[in-house]
Amino acid sequence: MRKIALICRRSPSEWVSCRSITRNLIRSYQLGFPGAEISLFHMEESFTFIEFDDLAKRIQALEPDVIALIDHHPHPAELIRLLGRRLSSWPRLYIHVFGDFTIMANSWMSVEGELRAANPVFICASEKQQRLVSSFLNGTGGNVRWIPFPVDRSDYSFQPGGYDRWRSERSVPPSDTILLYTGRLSLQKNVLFLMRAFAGYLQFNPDAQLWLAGPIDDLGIPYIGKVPPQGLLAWDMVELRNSLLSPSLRHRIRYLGDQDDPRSLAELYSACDVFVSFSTHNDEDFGMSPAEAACCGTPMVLSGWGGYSSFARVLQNSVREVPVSLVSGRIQPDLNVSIKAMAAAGAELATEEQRRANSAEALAFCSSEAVGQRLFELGRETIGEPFSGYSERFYKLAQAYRISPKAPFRAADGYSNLFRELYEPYF
Amino acid sequence: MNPTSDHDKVGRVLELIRGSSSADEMSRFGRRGDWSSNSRLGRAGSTFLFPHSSDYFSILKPVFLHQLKGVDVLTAYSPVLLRDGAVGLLDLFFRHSEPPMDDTFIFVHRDLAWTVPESWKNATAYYRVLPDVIADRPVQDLYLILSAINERQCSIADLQCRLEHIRRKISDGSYRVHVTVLPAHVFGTNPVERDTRSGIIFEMIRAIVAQFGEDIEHVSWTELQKRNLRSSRFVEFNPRRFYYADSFVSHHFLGKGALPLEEELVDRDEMELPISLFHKYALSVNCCSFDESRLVEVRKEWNDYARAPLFRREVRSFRKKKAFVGSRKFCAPALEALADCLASKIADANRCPGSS
Repeated sequence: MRKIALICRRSPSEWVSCRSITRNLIRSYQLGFPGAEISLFHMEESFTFIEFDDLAKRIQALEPDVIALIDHHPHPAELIRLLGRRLSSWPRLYIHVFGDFTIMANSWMSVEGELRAANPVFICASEKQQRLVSSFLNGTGGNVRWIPFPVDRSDYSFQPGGYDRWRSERSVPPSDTILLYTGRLSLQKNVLFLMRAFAGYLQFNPDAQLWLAGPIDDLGIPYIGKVPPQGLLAWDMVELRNSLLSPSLRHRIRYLGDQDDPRSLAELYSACDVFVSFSTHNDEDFGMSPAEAACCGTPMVLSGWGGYSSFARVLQNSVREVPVSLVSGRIQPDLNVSIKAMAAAGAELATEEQRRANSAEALAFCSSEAVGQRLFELGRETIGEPFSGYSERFYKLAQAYRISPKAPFRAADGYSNLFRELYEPYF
Repeated sequence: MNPTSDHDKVGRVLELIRGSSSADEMSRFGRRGDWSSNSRLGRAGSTFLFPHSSDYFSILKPVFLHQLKGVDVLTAYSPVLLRDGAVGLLDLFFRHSEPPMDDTFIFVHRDLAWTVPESWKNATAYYRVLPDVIADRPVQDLYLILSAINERQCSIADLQCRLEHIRRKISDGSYRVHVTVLPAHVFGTNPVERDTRSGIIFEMIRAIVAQFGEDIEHVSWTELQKRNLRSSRFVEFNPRRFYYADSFVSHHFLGKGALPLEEELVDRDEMELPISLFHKYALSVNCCSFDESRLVEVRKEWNDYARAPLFRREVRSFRKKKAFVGSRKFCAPALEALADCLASKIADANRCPGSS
């Protein structure tokens, strides 16, 4: 692979996690292909047809061996069409699949013909996402792989002495067990459920604290058209905390606000005892927060939803998984099982050596170097199975979005049967 | 009407808040179509004041009067928090010299308590929006939010004075200064308003550069919503609370943990009601923070006009379908002019800190 063209957006994504994913993917390609000429090409939401065509022309002029789409926005349909016209034959095309792949189903449908000629490799971020995307394609899924999104080890890795140091700086009593959640606080991230589970755990361990760090958003559950008013979740969190905990205990749930600085986050991961997330966000394709926490050596309790499952499978020494199910219109774990998982994790606090080992294992899984190596190995593979179009499932998905773009999976009692059928791999 | 004692009023407010926080009540209010008119006036009003007019959730049911189907909503959904500025409130009190029913209860911004007539006092309590977070980290960023509507919002002279005060206040710090200018929508082909608006924006930018130099960053509202504002302070220029009193922009900053540059503390007689984990309402049943003689003068002037037949005819002849046509906005130009006059008199008594 002598020449690699990486396509991404220049302006930063609205999604904080996607900013670091794209940045780290660039680094992974550089590390995985040290001798290659790697060229960055930018496309923007605002691009006109002329600008897309110019971009296609410049990519064509490079004569790359690999074209890799490493961003989630804007959708590359226009670029793919124009490249299809310009290229006499396609080089390898890697499509890194992000969480909004399903939301953009109709855009992907619009370039089905071009993709048959391009024969792409869909690179998913987790095993379950690989199964999901494979179910959207005809064939046996031979052109769908999974490679985790990379984490920059210079930002997130084990810090010797970090646990004691950062706790001391924050005046955390040595006897306190700190459970940490980072990332967006939203309905689908099950933050309210997490607070309830923590309140249950607190009964077993009165010295526990729950730290919540991240921006609050009122995204709601767009798949079923549930869009709450702005500020409702923040209010719900206040009310829930006040109803679950007496005034003397309310300090045990701490909201740290938005934390997007890697150094602050790494300190939090080092200082906490357990990273917890019961997220069942639609299209939780991977989980950058758990990945970053894992690379810092932090033991984790995670829902078994979507991409999170890959952590449990690969990092068996440091991850406890809690299965989820669809009950009463909500996708959630069982409360008692969640409390027990928290209690088990809280009872087995990791030593410094264990954290070091956890971190090494996680970095071997998803550091930029590790991902670069997997990309290199992928480059040496022969992708036998050509892209032969989308499956009926994908057609149904696209149709659901056409009929009801704001609530594609809404049914009377929550989620439609179509959702259950399509997202079965994520449970 | 006999005045209610403060103690009784506090009891009533607490009871209303309890009722308002029930799931049934929140669900009822959540059915927006039942109380919101979605009229041309409502939509135009929201567009005119965007993004200040963006909705946010609170159990006190914050609304703008221009959104409502009618005054009956104030009773049917009591208590209701009015986000309107002076002009909206005075229009309400002009058209309804008394609360429509005994059950009616509203929350009005404390700074606009001067607009509330005696007949409404038993049915009104007052709110402020305050941070509920300690400044536990160094502040690095200062955001200046200006709304380029017209000089009734904030005169250029007042703006210049306030900017100078801000500059002196932060002169020993190392803030990065960011500026967001929010121009209100100009409706129709209205060259006078457009020219005025562009002139105001020019003068605002000039005033900012004069105080802070050119090393300032322009931030669009879209970009602002993506930013981590935790280590920030902000100033949302709305000293007269003329067109709006309760701004979504302020809630956005406070909800993300930012602090206003001028911090206010909760008074002893105020009740606190959380809005988010980082900010709250401070509620009071009484408000006497105005210069008494000025208040008497303003109330007298209001009463004189409110009773004057010509003025009444002028205001009552305003048709909602004429709102946002030409220079008209929410109400009759005569009422807006009177509101401006009265607000100026009150503002004089609460002028820019540091001004002579």
